[in-house]
Amino acid sequence: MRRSTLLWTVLGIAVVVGLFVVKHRVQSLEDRLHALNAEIITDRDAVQVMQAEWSYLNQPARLEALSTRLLGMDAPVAAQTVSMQELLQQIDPEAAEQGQGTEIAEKSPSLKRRAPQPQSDDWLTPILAKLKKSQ
Amino acid sequence: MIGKLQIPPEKIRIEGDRKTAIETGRNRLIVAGALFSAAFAVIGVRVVDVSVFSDNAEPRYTRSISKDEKNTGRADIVDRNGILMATSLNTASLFANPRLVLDPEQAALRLSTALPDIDVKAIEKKLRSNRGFVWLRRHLTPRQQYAVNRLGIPALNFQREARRMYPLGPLASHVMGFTDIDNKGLTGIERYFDKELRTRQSNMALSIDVRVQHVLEHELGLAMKKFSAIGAAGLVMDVNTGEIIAMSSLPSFDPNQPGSIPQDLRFNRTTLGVYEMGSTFKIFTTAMALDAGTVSLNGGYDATDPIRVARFTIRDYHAKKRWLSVPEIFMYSSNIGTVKMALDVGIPGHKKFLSSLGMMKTVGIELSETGTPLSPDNWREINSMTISFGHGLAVSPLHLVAGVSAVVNGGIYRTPTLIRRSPADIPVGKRIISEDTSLEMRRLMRLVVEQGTGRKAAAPGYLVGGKTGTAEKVSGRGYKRKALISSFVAAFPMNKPRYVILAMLDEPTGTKETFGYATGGWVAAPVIGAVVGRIAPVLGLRPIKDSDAARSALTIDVSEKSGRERRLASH
Repeated sequence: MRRSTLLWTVLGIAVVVGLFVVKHRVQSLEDRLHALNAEIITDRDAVQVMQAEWSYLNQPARLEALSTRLLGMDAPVAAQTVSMQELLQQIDPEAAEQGQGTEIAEKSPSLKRRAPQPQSDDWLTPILAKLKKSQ
Repeated sequence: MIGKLQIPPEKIRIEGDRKTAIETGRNRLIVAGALFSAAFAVIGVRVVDVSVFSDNAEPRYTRSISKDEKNTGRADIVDRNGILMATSLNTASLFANPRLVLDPEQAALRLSTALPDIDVKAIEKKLRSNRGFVWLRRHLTPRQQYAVNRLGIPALNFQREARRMYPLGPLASHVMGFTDIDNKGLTGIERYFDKELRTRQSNMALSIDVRVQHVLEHELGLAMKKFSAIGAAGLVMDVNTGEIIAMSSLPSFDPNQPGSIPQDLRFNRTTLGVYEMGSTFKIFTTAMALDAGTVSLNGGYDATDPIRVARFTIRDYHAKKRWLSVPEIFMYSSNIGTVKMALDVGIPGHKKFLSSLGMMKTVGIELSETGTPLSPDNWREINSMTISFGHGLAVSPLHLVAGVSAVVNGGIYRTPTLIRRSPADIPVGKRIISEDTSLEMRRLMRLVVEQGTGRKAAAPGYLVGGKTGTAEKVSGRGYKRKALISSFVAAFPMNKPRYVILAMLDEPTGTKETFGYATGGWVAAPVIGAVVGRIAPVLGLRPIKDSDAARSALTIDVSEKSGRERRLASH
């Protein structure tokens, strides 16, 4: 009789203490969540402001004025656009005309360096892909 | 001493009192004990209730914010490439409870040290009022909020409010519209999609491309200044999807200052304004005649004498006084030839063709500011005659651009839209003319730029083709000779059109450079040339080299009166 009373008392106290600890921990976690939420809202506001500012600073009129004044840029004309084929022709007219100019490459050392044309395309592909992606 | 002698009799009395006191004490103890046990019982029951039965009903103290939840009231608007065009920022607004203000005069005076631009008298009056809530100043900057906070006036408080911002300023202002101080859309997209923007969680993507928009506004602005026009309008439309890439009505306004926008600046010339567009309508007349088969590209009409109908005389501006072939009629913009072309098709056919191009009703674009065309109530022969060269039917520039898109894109009419369309959403559209007619029209429009009235619209490498238009403005019952609507509508590249572009100037005046001319070919065509040259690379178009087959395929043999054939297009 005495023993079971003692056991129940100990159990009761243990449950009470346990409940208190859990409750306390939940409360502190919720406090933290609350603080984090407030922080998220502040950060979101800040992000929103920065996005607006980014858009404001990227006004096409402003970029145009800046690039004209600081970089000396101007509107492009059609003649400035060159296809890859035309570019190759500019660099090496004979090779482009004769397809793979292997014979010339063997004779002339200066052309030999330019001979591996496919390679120059290889290093360009990732850049072109990146450009395409960003567009 | 006397007191001490009196003690014994008192003690006896106390004995009796003590007995009753003990009785009372015991009773009180029982009552108190009962109350306490009752209280404990209640607490015990409540403990069981709270911990066992109503666990779930307990309100959560806080909850986590979901990732895509918005913290501002209104959805953002972005352009087709995701560039922010309109957003809502949280700001603090200052309000006061006048009943708590002790000294209104002093408070107003102190407030003016933090906000120097306020009206001290007005604020004082507000603070004296017998109300519980007055706005003092909406949308403070963080610095102003800090300054006001530092004053420590107890009756003042802040309310977090979202404020609509347009980071691109006046760019595309007539498309965006603006909101009032309570974020209610008043014009433009903001008004048309007011309800949706309030509830929408994601950004709203427009079909506008801000880069193209800027170029169009910039070049139109320059032309407007150069020719001292009172206004200008411009449009760029994707002919294959119906998307409006740029829409500009000048003069524009800054939607960030909604309070100070004069009513006349809000007028959207591209959609709300209806004008008699002049010779650009010859595109429709010619397309109709070619498609109906009443005349072919090799056919023609005698344009020697002006046409006299009732009290009107229809004459040619660039009169050639001879028989003209269809390409010549189009290229020299002959009114006489065009009228004859329309009459051959007939009035019902003419009317039906124009209404199939949407010229008789408002355009179903996502704006509230859309103009209804002014068409004749009773369509007689004289109406068909004047409408064939663009007088007597007033439409908005958007009508014209949508119609020209249908003519050049292979003959399919699609309603223009301001919302970005994914390739899967492109409507099938409505066939207006055959593909062959569309190709013939493209060749004719190309001819105008290569050899005709629109040579200044050429943009090397991009095969521009179009048509000039000059119309006198209606004033009262007649026309004003000096007040013109000068326009140019074009498409590019003409071998496989992607975009239709329009430039229109309202009441331009000629300059020395244009020899006093203020017609479409002199004032609007150069805008097209400049804009196309700048936007084509942005839109991903490759210039076409002179020798290209695509280019020579568009040339037309223009046969002269004598029948001697001459190849005009010499690139």
